Amino acid sequence: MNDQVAAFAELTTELLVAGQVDDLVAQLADPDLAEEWDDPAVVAAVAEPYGRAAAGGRLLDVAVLRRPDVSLLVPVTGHDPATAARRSTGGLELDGLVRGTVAGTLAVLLDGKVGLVATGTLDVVPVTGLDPAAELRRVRGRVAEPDEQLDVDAATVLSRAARFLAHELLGAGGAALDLAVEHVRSRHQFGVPLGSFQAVRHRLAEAHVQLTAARELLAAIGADADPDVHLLVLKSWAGAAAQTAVAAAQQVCGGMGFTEEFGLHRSVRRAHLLDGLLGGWEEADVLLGRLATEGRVIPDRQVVLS
Amino acid sequence: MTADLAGHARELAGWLRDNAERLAPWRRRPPGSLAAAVEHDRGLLALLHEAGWSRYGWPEQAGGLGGPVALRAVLYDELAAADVEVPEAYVILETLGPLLTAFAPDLAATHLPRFLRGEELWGQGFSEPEAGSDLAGLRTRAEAAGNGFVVNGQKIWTTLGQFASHAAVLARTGAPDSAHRGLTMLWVDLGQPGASVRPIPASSGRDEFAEMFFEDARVDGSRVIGEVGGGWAAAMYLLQYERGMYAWLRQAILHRRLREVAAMAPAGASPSSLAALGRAQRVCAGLRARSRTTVLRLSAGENPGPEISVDKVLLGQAEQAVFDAWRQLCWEAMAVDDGDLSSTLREEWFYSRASTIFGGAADIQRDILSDRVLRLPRGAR
Repeated sequence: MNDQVAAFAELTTELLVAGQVDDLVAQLADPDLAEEWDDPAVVAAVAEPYGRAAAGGRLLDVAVLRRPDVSLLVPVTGHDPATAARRSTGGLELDGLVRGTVAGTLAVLLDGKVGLVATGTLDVVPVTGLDPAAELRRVRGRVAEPDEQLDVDAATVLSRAARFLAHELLGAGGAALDLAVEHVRSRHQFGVPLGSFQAVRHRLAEAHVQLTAARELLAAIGADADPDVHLLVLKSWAGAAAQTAVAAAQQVCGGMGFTEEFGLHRSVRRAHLLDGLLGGWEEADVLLGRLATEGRVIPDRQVVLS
Repeated sequence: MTADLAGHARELAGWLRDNAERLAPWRRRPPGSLAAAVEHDRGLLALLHEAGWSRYGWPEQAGGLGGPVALRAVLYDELAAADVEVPEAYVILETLGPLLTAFAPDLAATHLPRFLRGEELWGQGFSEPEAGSDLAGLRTRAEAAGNGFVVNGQKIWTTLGQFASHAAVLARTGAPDSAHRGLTMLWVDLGQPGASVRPIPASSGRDEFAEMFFEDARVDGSRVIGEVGGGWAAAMYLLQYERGMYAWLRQAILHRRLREVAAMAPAGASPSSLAALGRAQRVCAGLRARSRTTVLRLSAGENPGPEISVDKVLLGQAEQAVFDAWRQLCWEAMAVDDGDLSSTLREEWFYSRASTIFGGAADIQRDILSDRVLRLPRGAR
């Protein structure tokens, strides 16, 4: 990790531990930092601790759109961004999610471009849902066709968002695994530590394998890979790995894992929420398989030996 | 080194294209007996040696052309990418070759060039009927006699052992209860009296494995690989290649299979079989990314340590995911077709079932990760 990346990681962890996510967003939204987000290591350095903390706030917007005054509208379900903004007579019908407070301008992915629309007339409802700490807002309503666009295409935004969410997922899964490892080391049953039982050990080892593979893949594939690779391979790997990790953690932590005090629920909720945003891994596997039968096998040459 | 690998890969890919016609006989394993297939592969080994490509990444003292170990990984990757069947001999080479070059340079100087030219195959004599995952419990004995040893015992699961001229045999030279401390690695001539090899009829229909019997087989003192009593260290050294480089070689082959399986998918394939194909792609991509890191570490002379068990677990999952995708998408071919291609893929499907067993069972890998990476309390196995 170079100094620059380490500084991002340090700042993020420090402010998240202090519970100052809005301050973190404000600092990271500095326009001078905009280009730093092109470095996948910077995305990892911010998104993983963010996923670990399972905090709220607008970090996704900042990392993906790189402008503090715009919020990204994400579809409620599935991989297709077009479902958040449908054309209807004389304008757009919007229905999507925003993470954190909604800025004055909304970014909608449309026809391969990123249109900007004013939030003013839209219906914004805070969501409690599966993961209240995520501070989701559901945004609905009709707007006119956007006459202004961000100077970045929809594919790039999707790739960036998928990469950010993938690292958040690894953070959430990693936090669950750490909590479970700690628990099974210290908790005794039948006179021995829980972590000495092979059934327990193997579940956690498997979680480690899955998280490691997802992390390697994110490190090996560059930010310039297309959205299919980002969404259907990188993010879905991270989603599957995070779900493996939280399921293993929930099982081996037993009843303790279900208490508010223990805190595992934060990772469980976050892992499932983030896996579903921009489409879950189970559905991604079907889409990836279909692409392959159409002759679009995700090329192995995206990971090169150098 | 970064530029070297990419440049080397490009050059090799160009050669493979220019020589496509010469390479045509080796695009697919020939149908028929295993012996015929092994014989057939010798031609490709000779060709790649003559052109020099298989010599990169091996030390010059052992008949190689030098350069980083990762150049070998480039060879396997480019062969598979060019739809050339990677000879199974390279799997054996990647386990025993690094062992000889690191621990027995003289033996490497004699035997490695022969192997690279396709003139010799070797066998790995580690497992025994009573010592598989619990390798330190092995019982094959090597008694000091004169200037060497006399070996007695039995080894099992030796890949292509029936075609091997020599074997690296892990034998007990210490007391019966010396566990992993009293072991020595010996280079045994399988053509001598007292050594015999027998193929094991396999459930796949392809007798890939053999067992080896030693009755007062003699081994000269010059044929100790490493130190007397240092067999465990030698075996552990070899394991990083058996798990690391082998996983890379296999991922190259699996990516080729994925392309083929995807092309075979029938129109209107069910969502569940498409998901199996998608998952296979995803798992193979993860394996490749992980394996890349490991190969580069090996190439830099680092020992990846217990984390290499991650590679081994992922490899087993990738192997089974690819061939299970074929099973789901092409059930008819898998179950009731007797054509050459279906028969070959069926054998490979069976073989993939063993990928979570050989080279250290996946369950043992998870134990290693639990003990040495997650640092969980050790317990009864």
